[in-house]
Amino acid sequence: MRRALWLSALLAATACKRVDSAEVGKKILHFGVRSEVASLDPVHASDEASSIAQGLVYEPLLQYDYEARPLVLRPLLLAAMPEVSEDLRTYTFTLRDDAKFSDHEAFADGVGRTVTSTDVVYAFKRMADAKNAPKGWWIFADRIVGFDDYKEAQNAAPKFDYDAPVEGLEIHDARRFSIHLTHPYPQLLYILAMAYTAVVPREVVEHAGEAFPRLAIGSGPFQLNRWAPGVELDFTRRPSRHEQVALDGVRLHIFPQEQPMWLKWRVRDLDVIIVPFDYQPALFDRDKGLREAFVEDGVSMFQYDKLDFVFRGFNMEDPVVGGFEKGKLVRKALAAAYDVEEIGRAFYDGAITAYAGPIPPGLAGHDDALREPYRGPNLALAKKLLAEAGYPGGRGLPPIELNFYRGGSSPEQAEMIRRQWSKIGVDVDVKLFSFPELSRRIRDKKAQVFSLAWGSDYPDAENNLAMFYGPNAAPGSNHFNYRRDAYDRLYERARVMPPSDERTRLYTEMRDLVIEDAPFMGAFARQRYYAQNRRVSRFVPNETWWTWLKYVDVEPRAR
Amino acid sequence: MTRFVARRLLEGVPIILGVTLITFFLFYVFGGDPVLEFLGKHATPDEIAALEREYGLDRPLYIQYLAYLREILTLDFGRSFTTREPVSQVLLRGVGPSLSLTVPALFATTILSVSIGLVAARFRGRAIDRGLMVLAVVGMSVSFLVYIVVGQYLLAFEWPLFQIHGYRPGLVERWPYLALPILILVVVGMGYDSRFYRSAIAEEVDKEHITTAYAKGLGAGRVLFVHVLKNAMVPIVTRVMISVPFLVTGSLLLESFFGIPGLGGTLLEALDRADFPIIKAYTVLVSVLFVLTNVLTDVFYAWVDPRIRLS
Amino acid sequence: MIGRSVITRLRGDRGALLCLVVIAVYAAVALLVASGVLATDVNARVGERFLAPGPGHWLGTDRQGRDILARALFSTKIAFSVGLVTATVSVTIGTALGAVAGYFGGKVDAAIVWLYSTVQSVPSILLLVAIAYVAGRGLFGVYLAFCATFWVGPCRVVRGEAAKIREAQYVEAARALGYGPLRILVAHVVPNTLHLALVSFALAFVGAIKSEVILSYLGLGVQGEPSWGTMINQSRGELINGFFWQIGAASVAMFGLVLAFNVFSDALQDALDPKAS
Repeated sequence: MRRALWLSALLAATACKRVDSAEVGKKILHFGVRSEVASLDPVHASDEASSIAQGLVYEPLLQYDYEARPLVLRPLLLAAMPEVSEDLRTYTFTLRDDAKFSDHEAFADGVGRTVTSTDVVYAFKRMADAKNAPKGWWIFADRIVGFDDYKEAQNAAPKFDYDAPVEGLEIHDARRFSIHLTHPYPQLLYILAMAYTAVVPREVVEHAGEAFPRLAIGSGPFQLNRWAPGVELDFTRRPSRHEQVALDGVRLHIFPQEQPMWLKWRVRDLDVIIVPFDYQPALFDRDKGLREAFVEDGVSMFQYDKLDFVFRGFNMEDPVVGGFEKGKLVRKALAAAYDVEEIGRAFYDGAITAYAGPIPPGLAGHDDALREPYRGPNLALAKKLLAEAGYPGGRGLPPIELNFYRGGSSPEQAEMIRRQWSKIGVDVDVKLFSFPELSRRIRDKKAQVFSLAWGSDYPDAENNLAMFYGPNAAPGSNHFNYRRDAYDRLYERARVMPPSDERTRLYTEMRDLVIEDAPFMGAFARQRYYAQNRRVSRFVPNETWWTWLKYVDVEPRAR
Repeated sequence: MTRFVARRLLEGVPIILGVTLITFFLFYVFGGDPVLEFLGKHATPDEIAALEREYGLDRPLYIQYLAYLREILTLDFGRSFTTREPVSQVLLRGVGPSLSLTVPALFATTILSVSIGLVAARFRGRAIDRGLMVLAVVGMSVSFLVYIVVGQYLLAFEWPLFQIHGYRPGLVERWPYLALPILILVVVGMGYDSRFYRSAIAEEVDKEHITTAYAKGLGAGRVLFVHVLKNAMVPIVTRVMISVPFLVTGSLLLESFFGIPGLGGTLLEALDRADFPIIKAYTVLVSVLFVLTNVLTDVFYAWVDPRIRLS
Repeated sequence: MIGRSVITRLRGDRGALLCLVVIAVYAAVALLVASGVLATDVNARVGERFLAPGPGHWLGTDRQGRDILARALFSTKIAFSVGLVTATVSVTIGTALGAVAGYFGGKVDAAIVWLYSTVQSVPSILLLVAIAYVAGRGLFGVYLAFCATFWVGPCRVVRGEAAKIREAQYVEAARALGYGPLRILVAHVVPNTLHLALVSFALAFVGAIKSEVILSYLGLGVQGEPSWGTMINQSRGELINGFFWQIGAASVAMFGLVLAFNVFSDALQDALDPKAS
């Protein structure tokens, strides 16, 4: 018995020693992320955890202003914003002369060299190389003079030649280069702020080979000190840099489960977490704000409105819910029987904004006041539409198949939708899948009704509107297989226009067409809450870009 | 002896082949699409085709199956679809943490359970036996998930005796992080094991030569420990050996709740992302271990009881 | 064989009797749910979400405002169907294959041993997930996944017993009388392994109910209908918010049934043990 007590005392002692001695007096930001970092190679940047990690190490040409809202682009690796030609088809860039890669043995003398125009073009070309399994070719596809031909020729060749020229990627000298476009691409500057286009040093990529995704040699403010897969990534600030950074380091902690992340934040091992929806009531009361105990602890929270498009989509080629005749009535009936606010209260603690059309709040083309005429819950309308479609009281309508992700609250959401639809006599067959399976079903056009979330890649509704462009039908991003000539013509006009009232007008026309045809129902955007412990200051999170963590400040850890 | 071992090992080949068939067909033919998972929301048909070629998923199924068999023979399972790391590296990295969790837990569970079994068998039918067995049954009637969620909340947060979450690779530093998950594994396992060992030991106690030993006037403790335990070694070792191949697979739930970078978490992630190379290598690893421990167990039987002939 | 003496022995065990009563109560609840008397609408909203117990919702409400008591009661039906189907099918398959393997030996035995060794050497979680992929989600997938893995246990023990029975004098006698193997299997081998099958049945029943929790956690469990597994899974975050009713209701309900089954199967094992006096 005495030995047991002694043992538990020892365990307690080790458990309470929370602060690493090496950390005392240092400004280290501890950040909890919800999934493993898959890859640190910028061409793979797409999941959140990888984007956060890459944002510490790699830099694209542009970033956004840390605090200005709506988002404003600012130069990062550039000395100034690029010059744009009259015809909007040539962009000329000048790099800053003091951006250097961090040290690596592949460099001459092992010292990181200055970032040059060649590096930028090399990074772009890596997106064309199929061997890198790049995720972001869509940002360049059919945009840059000669680039698509280059991609095709080089992938067919026995060896991908990075030295072969691309007409549209013109290098003037070490600091100046131009991009020549086939037609105006007003979103170009946004994509040059995305992690995909971040600059990487060629000699290191070639030296590391297949190991490059586990390496992090970029021009960013931090370097990777240690990566314990499944546990944490430790980044330390680089000694000399072109920007002033307060933090000494950032540590990303990986949490597959929510409970331990929350508890670790509660004991202040973590400085910042994204609060899981289920835990929001523990943190704050929707009417009264932060809970008393947290106010006393000096905790603060930040509400971030995601550029988010969560929807229940219909396969427009499905015999029952597809098409523009009977199927359209069925879709609207289902939408009218659906109560998105109830979903929001039950599964997102009310932290959602329902909206009409595919353009999320915060982007030009969105209208807060707009309501689709078939917005639920409106059971009378739903029943009427269903009868008009030839299924009075749901009679004759086969069970509707809901294809949902099997994790998180999705299965429960499907149950709720089933309950809502049962009120108009519609039967539901719920099918749950892992993400790969769900993707496959949607790609094969087998998913009658499916639930997905689309996060905008940049703050321009063009990104969302592309999802309804006919030629993008499955397996492309038009998961709905929505095809309407009028829409396609509008999209083709709008996609080459720079931001303007005229373009916004086209956006709203497209939005209204989609609302009229209802290829999806119940769109909403989620709000996210970041919770910070007292030590953290200057914390203005944004999920469109991730090179902002360097601007955060924390108090040094005491012993 | 050598011939026996060689023959038993050869008998393992069909088992491993069976396992490869099960894995291959269940996952390749019916599973998700790793290419779409990897390329994400903007995938174009060209990119999908290119990556399928890169992964070799465009080849006929039987060619892919033969390639799988070749991978087993050469022990080269290629690279993970998700992280692009060599599969062997991913698996080797997870083995250490998983074993650090499961091996001490197995030892502690076995020692504690055998002790409880001895005590219960010694006082069979009396209050202490009944009490222990009631505890054991109660312990095994609670859901594993509840143990984890409640255990972590109470023992690491409300009453901070243990670390909440995390892992250090150091040979010494890792234990504070492993203590609570090991404790949970032991508590969960003890219910089953102590009941099993009690009945195995009780069976020995009933045997004639034990009764003779008592009759000869040997002390109860001595009889129990020397005679009974020695004879009960066969069921004890059998039970321990059954769990050996699965030690390396760690514990899926415990690892993900406590942040231990073991193979349980690796498998969960691989399943979620349809990372076939990892799944393939993982199943082969476990089935090979299964065959090996079976052979070892047989050798052990022959060693304990020479009457079991190696034939 | 299971005879009168077993029943007499069980009757003397008051703990076992109590457990039998508990199981009967659970079974009655399951029957009432199945016949539409109890917990008829588990998806109905009965009030605000996360209510503490009160009239109309005696164990509180979940995050959708549904009655936790009704859902916990309904889950009893799911537990019984998962437990009964899994146990019946897997024990039947296991006993049949085990008896055949043990009795015939030789190539038949080798084939069956190969089959169960293969199934056994795949980590069970992987097999469960894989089968759920193939069978589709929901109750049927759960049945199939459990049956495909749970038959191994009974098969092994019955095979061992059948191999012993094969050498028994009365079987030799039957053979000498010219009885065919099928008749011997049915008349002699299987009845003499029934005590093992019975214990395996109880183990499989409990195992299925407990494994359902893990499957639900992985999103592969019962769908559309509440089960203790989905209830526990859905309440993971509620503990932090100080809401214990859902995880408590599901855990306690499951605990009661599993405990009763465990104790009863112990008593059964003792009563069936021919060595016990």
